[in-house]
Amino acid sequence: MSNLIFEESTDNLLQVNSLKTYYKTKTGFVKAVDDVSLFVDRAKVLGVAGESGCGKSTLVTAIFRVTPRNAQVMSGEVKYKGQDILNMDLKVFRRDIVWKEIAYIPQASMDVLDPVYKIKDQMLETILEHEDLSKADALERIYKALENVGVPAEKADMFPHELSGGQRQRVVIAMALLLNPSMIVSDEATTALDVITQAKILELMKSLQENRKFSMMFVTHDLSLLANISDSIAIMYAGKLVEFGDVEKVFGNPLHPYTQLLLKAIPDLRFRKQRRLVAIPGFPPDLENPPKGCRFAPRCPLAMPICREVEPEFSRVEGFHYVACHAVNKK
Amino acid sequence: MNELLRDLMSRKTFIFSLVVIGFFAVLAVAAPFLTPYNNPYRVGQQFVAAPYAVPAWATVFPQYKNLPPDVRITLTPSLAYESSGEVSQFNSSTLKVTVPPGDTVNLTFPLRWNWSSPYDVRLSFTLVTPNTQYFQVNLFVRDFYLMSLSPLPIPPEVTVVPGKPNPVIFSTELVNPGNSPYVASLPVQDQSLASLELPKVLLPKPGTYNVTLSFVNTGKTTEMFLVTLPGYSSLGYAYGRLGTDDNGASVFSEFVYGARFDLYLSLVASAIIIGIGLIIGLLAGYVGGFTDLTLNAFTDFFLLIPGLPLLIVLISIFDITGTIVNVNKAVLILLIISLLSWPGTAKIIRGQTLTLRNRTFVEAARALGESRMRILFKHIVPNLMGILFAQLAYDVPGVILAESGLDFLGLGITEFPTWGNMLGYATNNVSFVNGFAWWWVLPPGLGIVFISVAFYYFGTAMLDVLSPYKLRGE
Amino acid sequence: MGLIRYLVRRIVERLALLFAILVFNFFIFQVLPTIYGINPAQLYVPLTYKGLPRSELVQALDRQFGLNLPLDERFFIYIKSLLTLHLGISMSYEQPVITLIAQRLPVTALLVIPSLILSSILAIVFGLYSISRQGKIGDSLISFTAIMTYFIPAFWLGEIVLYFFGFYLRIFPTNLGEAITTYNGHLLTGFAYWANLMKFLTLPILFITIISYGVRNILFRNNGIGLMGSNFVNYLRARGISERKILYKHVTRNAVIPVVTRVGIDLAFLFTGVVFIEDIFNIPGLGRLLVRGAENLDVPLLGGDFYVISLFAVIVLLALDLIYPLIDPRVKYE
Repeated sequence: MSNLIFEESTDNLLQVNSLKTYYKTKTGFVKAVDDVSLFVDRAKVLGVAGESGCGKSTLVTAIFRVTPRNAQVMSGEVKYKGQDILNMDLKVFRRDIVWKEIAYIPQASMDVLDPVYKIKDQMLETILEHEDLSKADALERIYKALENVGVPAEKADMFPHELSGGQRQRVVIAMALLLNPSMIVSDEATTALDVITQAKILELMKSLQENRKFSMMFVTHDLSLLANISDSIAIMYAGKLVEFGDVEKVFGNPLHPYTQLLLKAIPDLRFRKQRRLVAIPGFPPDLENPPKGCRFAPRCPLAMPICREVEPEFSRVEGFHYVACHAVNKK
Repeated sequence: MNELLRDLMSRKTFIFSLVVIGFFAVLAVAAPFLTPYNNPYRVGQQFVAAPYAVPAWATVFPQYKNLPPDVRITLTPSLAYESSGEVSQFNSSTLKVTVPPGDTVNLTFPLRWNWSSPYDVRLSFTLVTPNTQYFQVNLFVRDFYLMSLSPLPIPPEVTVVPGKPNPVIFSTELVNPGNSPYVASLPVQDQSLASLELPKVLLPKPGTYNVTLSFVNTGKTTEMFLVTLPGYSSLGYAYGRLGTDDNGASVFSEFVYGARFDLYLSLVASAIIIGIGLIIGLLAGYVGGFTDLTLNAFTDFFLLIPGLPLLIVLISIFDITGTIVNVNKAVLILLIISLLSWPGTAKIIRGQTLTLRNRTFVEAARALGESRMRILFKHIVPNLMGILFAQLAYDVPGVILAESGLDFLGLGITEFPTWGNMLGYATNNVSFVNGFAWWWVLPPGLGIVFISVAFYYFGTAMLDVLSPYKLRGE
Repeated sequence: MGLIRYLVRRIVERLALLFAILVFNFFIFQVLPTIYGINPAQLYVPLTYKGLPRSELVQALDRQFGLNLPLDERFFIYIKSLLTLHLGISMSYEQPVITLIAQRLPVTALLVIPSLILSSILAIVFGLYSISRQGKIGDSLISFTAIMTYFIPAFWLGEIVLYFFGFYLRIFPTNLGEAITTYNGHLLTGFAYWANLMKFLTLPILFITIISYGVRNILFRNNGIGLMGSNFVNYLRARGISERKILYKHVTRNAVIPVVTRVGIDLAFLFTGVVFIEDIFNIPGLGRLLVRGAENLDVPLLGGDFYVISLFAVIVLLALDLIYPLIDPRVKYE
């Protein structure tokens, strides 16, 4: 049904098609990713935004096939360069696709790297797992990668806890670039960093992307970060995609009530006097027993009776701009 | 709260621990109702059956099939008594025997015996003798001339007073050449073994055996005897729920009272250990600085003292100087074990307190100006609940093992049963001859194992459930 | 240099601890008797030694230990004697304490060190198995067995095992003397000596291994399972590193850290645990020496034993402090 979404895709590298990934619990299923479709074109950046628990992390782990044991892909597919990567043999996937084609930049928390091995050894391991390189060559590549992200060479001989948060994040970015992948997925790469470092890291990622021309899927809860870096935006709520389109269209003309509220919630220093900080009232729904109809209805200022009955479908509004909302569709 | 319970109950290990602890708790509490023997180590409570008697239910096994239980019956005479002389019913429990001069009257009591030999044989009756010197009453079992009762003090005859009621007891335990013609007739080297051998000789296997009283009148006039129906009793080789130990005392009683003591001791000791550990750990972790340093040193010091040797030395000293009586010895052991065990708990609590103290919610509370005390009790202690319960998991088994170890070595409690000293005595006495006394050796050991495992599961389940996140690195 | 400072601090702490123990020892073995009016020299002297009468021995000891001097002077002499390892003469054995200890230490060491190594290996091997089969029946079985074997009263099971394997089945020798002497009472030498010694010790070593691997197994397993779901492991998976490598290279290396700590502590407090085993299996080691000393209130022996045990514990703990930064890089910056 949602293949109408792919009509705007020019040269897509990654295609998520009606993906449903649920977590099995003792009492039922948690519908973490519920019929989500999106795509990322070559050398373009897709920003995925949504609050905590909307399913974006599940989406990322599903793509890399590292979901927890109780997660199940119920239906849908993920295609990379036309290949079905969810059903592909796991060994082949790990050997050919992972890191070589698609790499992952996690949030560089304190324990994202093995605390007992040095930085360079961990990067070495990653390279040698996928490529048959001599140790010397690999090390050379490592030092170069670190240089590219602005990490001093001596840090490579240190242990993860000896690095600052910002340095760790840079290392993790360098790690993702080691095998020169065509696509990078970053999940909350700048969260938990202070604002200044955040800006620097963002700058770094943007410049790397522009120079090396890899595709990127930038997942975050902070919509304000995406304006500068993305080519297209996808907004997720409660496991569903609610708005998807070209960045200027979405930011310039946000259609879904949730998107509008998210944008209003961004403090804008320019309008210090005029704009009040708006918080969206209410809480995200329980994904094990989501409400009938549109999942945002309980918190939506535009909710209509039909919203509590029928789930809204995606419709194209104008060019590369899709939205799933009864209120919008009505118009 | 309900969620907690649901989480707990979903863990199989927790259910297991509840069942086991519940079982032993019931045993311990209901002990006085389950058995009349509250201290089977006292002489008066021994020999409730033969030593090393197997449990009564073990007779289902083929090798124990014919073992006799304790038997206590009153014998009734056979009908054949009519034949020789005059015997009549004096009252419901007494017979009157009239013997003509120079004559003998035999009174036979058949004994229906369904098992292999008992541990001992005991016959008792009251004999009212005629008021002369010219009589004799002989006791036979089968054809064995066991006892000779006469007014004349000539061993191996047993003296009875004429004209009075004489309580007579024949017991294979008390038999010797001086009071039994049969034993006197044995070769000298066999005489000392007669006590042990006689039951086997008298009642070798299932069958009916005759107990005969032979009334002899050596006088010139007809005389009359009164005799009560003899009572037969013997200690058997199959007894009770868990058989007997080397002194014939009930192992079940020992087990149940041992459970009582062990549970009580370990729970009280654990409470003390956790109490001390909590106070010290909390102070050290929360206040920090110099207090922490000194408390740490203090804790380390206690930790480093060789616990067991010190324990042994102190007990030995107190034993030798006779300072402490046994009931207080238990208290002493309790205190010493507690004092030597709290450092481990204190260290763990201190570690947790440190972690908690640095967490943001405590910082927030402090920023809001909450007093130290309030922070401690409102924020930190509730989060320690998981760990506190978890410490039970180690402290209870630890105390039981330490105390049992002492008892086992004979350095702890010896006057009343504990699982530890049961194991000590049992393993010392185990041998091929008594079938390894499995009913004595196994239950206390298994008891210790199961209680320990149960408390371990209990503690770890509580830890998992009460902690906000997985803490269990052990 | 954070590392050096950390080590120096540790050394100072441990030495202070040792000193505290020595003071404690002094208190128990010298101050207390003095307070109770007993001349410590009496406590320290066996009935005879090398044919010398008691009075002379008492005098000799007075001179050596200065036992008739005031307490504060005695303290220094005491410390000096400990440092030079002049530990007195055992009353019950009538030999110098240091000789007794030197004789028995190797036996205990030979008993304990192989057990320590074997049980740790066993713990890790079983732990790895458990981690890879988490939640399945193999894991539950192994975990349950680990706990059961750990909580079994060693003294109880030991007797049973000894009886069964030693006396009944006669697989292992039950008496050290028997094991290492020939038929005509001469001591075996060379290979035969060691082979028979080890034969004698095999049963207790196996026994200790079985009853002590449990806690390390559970420790390793729990840590490992926690780690399998941790952030860095997920990141490793995302990078396509094989589960096998993750388990054996990364998880093991991290999970083994608390196990090393635990093993270190167990080693330090070795002697208190080994007492039962030595008693049951008739091993003439340090532990049994201690029990005999305690039973007979053999003061010189006890004092010497306490000292050696504490010294050993402190040395091991110190070694642990030194090793720890090597296995856990995070520790360098305490």
